[in-house]
Amino acid sequence: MSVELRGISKSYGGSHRAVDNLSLNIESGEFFTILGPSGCGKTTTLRMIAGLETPTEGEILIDGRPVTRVHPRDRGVGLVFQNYALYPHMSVFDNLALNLKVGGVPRKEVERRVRAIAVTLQLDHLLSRRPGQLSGGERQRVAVGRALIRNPRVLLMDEPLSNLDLKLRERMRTELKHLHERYRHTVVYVTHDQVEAMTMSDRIGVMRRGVIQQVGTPDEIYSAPQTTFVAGFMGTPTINLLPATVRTTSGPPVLRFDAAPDRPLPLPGYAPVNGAHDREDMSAVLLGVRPEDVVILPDNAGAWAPMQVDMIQPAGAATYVVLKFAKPRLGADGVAPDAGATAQVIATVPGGQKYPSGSEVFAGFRPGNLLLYDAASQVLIARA
Amino acid sequence: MDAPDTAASNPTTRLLLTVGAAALTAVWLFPVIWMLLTSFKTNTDITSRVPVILFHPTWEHYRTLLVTYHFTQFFRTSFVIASITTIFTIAVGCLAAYALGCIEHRRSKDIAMWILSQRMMPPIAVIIPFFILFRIYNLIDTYVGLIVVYLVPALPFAIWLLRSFFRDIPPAVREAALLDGLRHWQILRDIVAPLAGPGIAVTAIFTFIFTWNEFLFALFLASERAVTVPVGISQLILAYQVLWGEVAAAGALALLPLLLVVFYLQRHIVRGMTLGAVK
Repeated sequence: MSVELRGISKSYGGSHRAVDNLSLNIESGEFFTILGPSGCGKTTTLRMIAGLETPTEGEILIDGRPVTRVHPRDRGVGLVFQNYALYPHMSVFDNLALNLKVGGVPRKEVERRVRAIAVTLQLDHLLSRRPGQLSGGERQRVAVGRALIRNPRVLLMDEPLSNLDLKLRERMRTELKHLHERYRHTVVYVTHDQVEAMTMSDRIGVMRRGVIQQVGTPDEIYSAPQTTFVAGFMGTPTINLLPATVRTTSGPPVLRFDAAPDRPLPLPGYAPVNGAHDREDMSAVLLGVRPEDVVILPDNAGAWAPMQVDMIQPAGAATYVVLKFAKPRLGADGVAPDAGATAQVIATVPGGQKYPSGSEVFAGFRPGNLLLYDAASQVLIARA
Repeated sequence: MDAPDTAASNPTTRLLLTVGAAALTAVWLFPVIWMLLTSFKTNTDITSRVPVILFHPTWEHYRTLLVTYHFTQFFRTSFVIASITTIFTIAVGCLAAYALGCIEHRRSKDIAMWILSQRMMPPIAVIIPFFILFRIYNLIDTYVGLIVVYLVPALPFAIWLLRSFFRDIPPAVREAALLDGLRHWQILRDIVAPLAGPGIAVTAIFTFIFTWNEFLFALFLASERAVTVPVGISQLILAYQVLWGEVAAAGALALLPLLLVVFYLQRHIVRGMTLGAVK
């Protein structure tokens, strides 16, 4: 069932807004992830959908029906809490059955449904245990089962994997995705982990300081981040953001880096987006380039600039190479480059490649995936 | 203790601490032991100028107490009043503590503070008003009267204590129950109360002890039919004579039930008393 948020805000007294005029359309059967750093308001948003918090302003609709002032139990939502919040004094069976019992479901039917969900989640041998006797992963599955057993119209999950260790988290990620493919509930999933968001979601909403910065499929979010914040939040290692100026009006577009003004980068594929066609010449921008789009070439042919290897970070399948500009040079106008400018570029190369520290290499950028952000507003203005 | 205390692991320090603790315990226990000894002494031994340590024990005072001075009746009165007060306090206290501690409300903190402030009122200040009121409603010298009076200080204390115990339960557990469709009274009955079980027990014990030991109100508001043990003991101080042996025997008997309860539940009680000290 669809979930619609219409301009909802939440403030806890004072002027600060935990959630600020947020609008979202989550479609029926969709796995939607709200992704953002801690304190960005994503959990508050989820709690407002669940009905545990009332928005200060705005309206929430589930399946087209306004539910802003509807009691949580009547919203038809299931919530998986971050710390599971199981009933410690009840058996797994009773934890799962409570909702059905309260709803007046006949005993036999309760029994049947609890057994069915327990089999799905591989909990059938644990039904008589208490939560305290379960492992983290088992508790997590009970929490999911408790939310699922009521056949919720919307399944809400608040960082459900954050308390698990890495291995278990990877496995649960697959299990949750399987579960969604099987039941096709509408899922609203909250996390600060970009990998979870990328691997599980149909769509992602990236949130910062109470505001949704961008909504899109994982591919869109990754390949065309609309702000430097979104760009920086997605991807490991973090995207390179290099201060530069761009000249677009007189002649073919050219980029000039603050850290290496003598090495202009032609941008043959320059394509303005977001209505940034008539920008001033020489305006300050940030070039966003993902580490995997930085290439290290054997010689100067086709390369952009000679650079020096600062260090390498082998990470198994890939190796991250930290590059810096070979020598600090004076700018074209005889002025030293801005000391604060990022003079460092990270490149991802296939694992096993070795570059001694201090060695000279030639770096280039793979065209087509370059992103240009306005330096002041941090918004995407062009791709190249 | 998460880190070993270096001072306490030093043998000299440990010895000093042990000696200090023993000395304190002796000071605290001395009157109690003296009372126990006195209750088994003959009147001659009790009033002897030189304290008698070795003596032939006698049950005489206990017999006089229970047969001549109707102390079985006083014990029954105390027990009934303390029990009903405790049950009522816990029942009402749980409801109030849940409302003040578990339901978001703009004013809940102010209301809780106001309730606590009721506890700070000196009892002597309200005895005369209570006396006048009770005369009008014929509550003087009745069980009901004393129970009503005891609820006045017992409830704020219990509400405050229970509220902190309830708030120790992670809010998400209550929220999960809310989403599971439970009404507030069901959350209190099926989730919060079972999880706060030890805390409720401690609150009940404190309430019982307070009521059991209360003297001032009982002295002013009861004379014949609703005489509690502490008032009964005071009646052993006669115009021309103090029945020390009987006083000591009554004290020893009054101590017994509390001693048993505290002994069995001391772990919970210590937790109850230190509640709010940390965090």
